[in-house]
Amino acid sequence: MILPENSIGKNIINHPFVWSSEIASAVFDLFPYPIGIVADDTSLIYVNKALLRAFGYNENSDVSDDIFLTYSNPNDRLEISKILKEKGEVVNFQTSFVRKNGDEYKTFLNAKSVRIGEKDHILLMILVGSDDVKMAWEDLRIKDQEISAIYKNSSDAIMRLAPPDWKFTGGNDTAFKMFNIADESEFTSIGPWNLSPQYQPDGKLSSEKAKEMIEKAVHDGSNIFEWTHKKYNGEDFSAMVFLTRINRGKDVSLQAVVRDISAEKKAEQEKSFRILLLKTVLESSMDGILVVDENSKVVSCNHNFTQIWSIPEDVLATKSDELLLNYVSEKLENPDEFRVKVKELYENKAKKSRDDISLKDGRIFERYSSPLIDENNKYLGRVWYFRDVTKERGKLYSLLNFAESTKKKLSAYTPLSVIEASNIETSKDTFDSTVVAIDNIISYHNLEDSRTEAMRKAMVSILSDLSLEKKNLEESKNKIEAIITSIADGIFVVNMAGEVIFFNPAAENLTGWSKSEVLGKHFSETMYFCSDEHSERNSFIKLTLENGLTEKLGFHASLRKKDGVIIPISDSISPIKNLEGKMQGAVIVFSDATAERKIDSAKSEFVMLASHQLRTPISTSAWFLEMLLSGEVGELNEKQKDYAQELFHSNRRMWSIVSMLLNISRIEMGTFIISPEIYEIKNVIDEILSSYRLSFEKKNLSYEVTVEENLPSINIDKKLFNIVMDNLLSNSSDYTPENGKIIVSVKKDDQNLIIDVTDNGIGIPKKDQSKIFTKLFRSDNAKEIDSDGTGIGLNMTKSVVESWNGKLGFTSPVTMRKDEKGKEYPVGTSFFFSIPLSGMIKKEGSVELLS
Amino acid sequence: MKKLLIVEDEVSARKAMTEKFTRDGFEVETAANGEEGLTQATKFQPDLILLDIIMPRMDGLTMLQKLRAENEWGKNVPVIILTNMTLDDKEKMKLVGSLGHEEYLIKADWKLADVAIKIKQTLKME
Repeated sequence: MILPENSIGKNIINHPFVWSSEIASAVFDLFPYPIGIVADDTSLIYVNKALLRAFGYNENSDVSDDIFLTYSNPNDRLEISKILKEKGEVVNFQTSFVRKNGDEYKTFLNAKSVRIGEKDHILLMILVGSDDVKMAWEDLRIKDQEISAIYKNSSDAIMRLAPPDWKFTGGNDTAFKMFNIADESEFTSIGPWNLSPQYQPDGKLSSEKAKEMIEKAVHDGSNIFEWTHKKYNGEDFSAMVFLTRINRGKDVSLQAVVRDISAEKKAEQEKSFRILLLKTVLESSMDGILVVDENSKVVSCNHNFTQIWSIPEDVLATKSDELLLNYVSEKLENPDEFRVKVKELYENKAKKSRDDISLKDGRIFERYSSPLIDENNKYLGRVWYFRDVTKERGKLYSLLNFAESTKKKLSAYTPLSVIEASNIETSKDTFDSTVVAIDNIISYHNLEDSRTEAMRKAMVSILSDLSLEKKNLEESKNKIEAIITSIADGIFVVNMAGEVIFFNPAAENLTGWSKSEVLGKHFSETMYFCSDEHSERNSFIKLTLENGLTEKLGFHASLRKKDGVIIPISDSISPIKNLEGKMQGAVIVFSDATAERKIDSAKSEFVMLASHQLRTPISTSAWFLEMLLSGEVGELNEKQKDYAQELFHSNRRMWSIVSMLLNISRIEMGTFIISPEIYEIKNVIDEILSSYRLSFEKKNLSYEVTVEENLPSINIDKKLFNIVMDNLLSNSSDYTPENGKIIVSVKKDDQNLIIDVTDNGIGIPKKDQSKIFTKLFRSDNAKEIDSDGTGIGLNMTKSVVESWNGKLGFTSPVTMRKDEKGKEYPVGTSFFFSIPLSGMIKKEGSVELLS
Repeated sequence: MKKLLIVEDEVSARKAMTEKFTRDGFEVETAANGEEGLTQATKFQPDLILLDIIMPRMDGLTMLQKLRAENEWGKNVPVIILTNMTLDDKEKMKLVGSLGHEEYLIKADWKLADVAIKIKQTLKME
């Protein structure tokens, strides 16, 4: 039954809230007394169910248009008109109507006229006895008060909008307060578009979208949606809006219930962001992590966990802890001991543990387990961290043994640092340095759905309760937070403005800055990370904030603490992105790398010493071979000459490997010199190509040089440049079959000179492309052609190019060709590297690289 | 006959050079470290010294400094540094630069025949 305007008392009439409320509908329809409402021309505009019954109609039929009151005595009609004019008084008189079946319906008529706007209406009550009249009025009065109270005290803004321009026609006090409006007269002078920003978050014009929303409500009867409102001449806020259509005869208007949800929304966003950032933190780390719940069931694990244990997808998919444990046990040297420990830890919930476990394949993992306990001391589960420490343990011991055994021989020129390496102890405290992703802790999509659903419910019932969702979010957050506080990596988070918004205890320890000194300030005020003394500080954070990529300071990263002490660190930084992929900030994870760095540099120094020691016998045997081959101590026969040639060839190869190893250790130690001078790039390239003329002619390779016009001369270290060109050219000539072609081209873009070496050789197989810069890696097709390659050249070349802030890359194949049978095969490789147009920057160092 | 002094700690390198340059018509004396090298140089007064750098007891650069400081002959005798030393190149280059007369050759880059040519050029024999 559609409810009319102007039905009962003045209060109700002025309460738009009534019209939307099912309570009101119920009040009228369940009312035991027949009620009819007539307009001032005495035409009937509303009847309730009781009246329909009284007049013999089916109470479900929508007959309001068909019913008219036929007075048994037409004079009574005049009487009623008279009452309409008198207004305000309740009048009783007895009259009778004609029912549907023609019977006469005698009744007391109890009527009151009410003036609303331009129109007068009369309230008709048709009753059986005079006592009932009083009771009926009293009931109506109470309902009226109840509704009035809801309207007045509602924390939601309730207002009405009327066509044609959908201006506000009224609202409750909350509405005025919410929109910062002085009074009703100001309110009725404006429309919804005055209370919205120009655009909604989806980019639509508010005025157009508002129209859509209003049309939908008018069409469907109601419309619930989220809306960004704006206080009158003030700031924006988020709201849920519930529009309901109100029909008054043929007139249609809308009632809007508006709830300010900005606080909830903000809290919710903060929580989502928090979870997001915590999740990203875990993703930025490197250990294998497994999380189990309080019943020791697998909750989730990160990618690295499956990697280091090589756990197949199907085993993982079962989520069965027993299967997983079986699978892991098979790989262990001592599975029983492992299981005993696992059992022990599951039985002693509070216990933490750290130990090494050995795998059958020779790897050593450090296992660390810590309970997950929330702030209320509730046990939520347990986290297992696994770190492959084979290298750290193995490298250290073998290095120390090796160093010890050769110490005597090398004692005359063993640098102090190798001796110092003997003092390095395996430090178990370095364990907690990294963590990786826990991917499935929270399913964001589920979260999203439940949020919308909860809001819908909340708005429809006007009384919302987000507490369940809050609880879920809270629990997820606690779990991840527990993980993060249980690791010893320094972690901090910056927002897009560069302000530090999270700083964990380990970060306090490592940097010497306390949380309170750092939070809320720009990271550059306190943080001081750099890759070496000449580089820009904190450059990696700036880069990530600008380009959204995962960055690393790299090999020589160090941190300057608050007290000025500089410590080596390993670091990584990842962007934090929300569900829409928009960047929210970045998380920086770092750990003390003093021990690692010592091992690394001891390793590099050792390689350097060892390869240096190899150089003397290599060069001496070359001399003897030279003398044999020259015939100066007697002619060799053909076989002898052949063998001596082979020896000489192997000798040269050994020499180049040793030189390259030396170069790599120099690069890794960062001790080599860059001393640039001004050159015309074309001259440098011509010069180096001329040294290849002979070897090109041998294979009948043609070559071509194309240099862009008007290139500026550039500051380069010719030796470094030649090392790079040498590697690329010798690769090209080695892996291009006879009669092939090599093209060297030079061009420039906005910031770089780009040198490209392209051949039509055997190309690099797709499967090997990700590995070609890996030290000692050689692709199968390259091995077939040239068994002499070392697998060192490209690794070194890349390091050299990067040393001058250049980039080295490649594409392969360059084209496809067809063999005699018409089958296509890939051809060619193109390597390219860049030099900043500003040139290479001079770098002091102690050694040069060997060409 | 021109006289060469070879100061080299590695036995087989010393042997290779001694035999090669003897065959090429030089009178060759040898020393196994810098200390011996200084004694031999004073005694033998060679026309040219081939000098390794990394050696036990006294390294080549120390010997060179002492030699140059000792007397007029020591100041002027030509020295060819023939080495594989690659540590502290910067330090080494500085010394070589300041001392002046020396050629600096990397063993593995040089054939003995080419070293012989270098010696002859230095001694203006060709």
